[in-house]
Amino acid sequence: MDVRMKIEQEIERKKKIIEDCKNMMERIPNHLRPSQETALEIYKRELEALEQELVKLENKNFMNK
Amino acid sequence: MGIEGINIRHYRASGILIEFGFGHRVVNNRINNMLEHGVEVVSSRGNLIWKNEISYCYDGVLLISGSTNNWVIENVASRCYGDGFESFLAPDSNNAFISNKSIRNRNNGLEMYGSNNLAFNNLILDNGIGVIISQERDSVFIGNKVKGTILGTHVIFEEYTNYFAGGNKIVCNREEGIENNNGQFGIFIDNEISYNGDSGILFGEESSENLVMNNKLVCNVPDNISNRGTNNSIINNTDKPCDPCESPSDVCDAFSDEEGNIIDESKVGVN
Repeated sequence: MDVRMKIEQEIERKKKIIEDCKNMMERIPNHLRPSQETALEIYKRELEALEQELVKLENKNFMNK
Repeated sequence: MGIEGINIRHYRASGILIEFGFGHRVVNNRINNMLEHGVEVVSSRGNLIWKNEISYCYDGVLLISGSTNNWVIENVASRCYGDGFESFLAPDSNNAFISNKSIRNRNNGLEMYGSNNLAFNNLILDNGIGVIISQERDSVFIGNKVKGTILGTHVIFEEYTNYFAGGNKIVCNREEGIENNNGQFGIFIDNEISYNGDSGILFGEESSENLVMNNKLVCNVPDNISNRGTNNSIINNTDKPCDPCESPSDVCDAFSDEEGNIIDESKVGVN
């Protein structure tokens, strides 16, 4: 798979999971909520890293043109 | 830090996550039904992932965001929705995947991006695609068995340079045994590539300067070796066509019982 497509797919998947996680948050019992919030923060950080990777790739492709 | 002997199941994140870590040991855990990965290693180095049983996760073991020098040994990743084992991009380099079993995962059995990664003695069975090699150079694939893949077997692309594949058994896959789209300076030596439903080794038009030597190629249809590239050297291979009235599917059906026990073993971790 093309690297760009690979990153884009992973971003798409991650966004969906974050969305689901946010929707689920209300239904999670109070005593479990902090760990779920931690997981959500990790997802968001990973999403950010992937988006940066994509920008880097786009810049690199632009420079090569 | 060590994480050993834990049963982890039905979480909305990864089973075990190592982030910015060094020298941790993840040993003998059972992880199943994660929304994310079984074991996720992020920007970390020198960790040991050993003897874990992972099933029904997204990726079994994922190395990502510049994870290097990690040891992934004797794990079983089965029935995952993504890949069995994966190093995600070029910065995920210098990792070793040894004696793992990757069985019936939906996408790839082993997806190895990055430089200088090692895959040794792994069993890659009944996955969507067997092995993907991409981005950068110098990875090594030795003594592995790849069987029963559906959409592709061992695919090398993005001008991967100086790849080495030796002593592997690549049998009974639905498409090409090894597909080298545009790799350069690769070495393919002492492999057994038999009874695949497309060519045994295919070199694409943009591949060049590869060496194919001392391989045993039997009954791959339509050709044992299909070379469309430039300056590839093909030397001293056993190139045997199918016997009269023989087809890969007939032979592979007879082989299929042999792997039944291994697939049953892969269910052990499921609770």
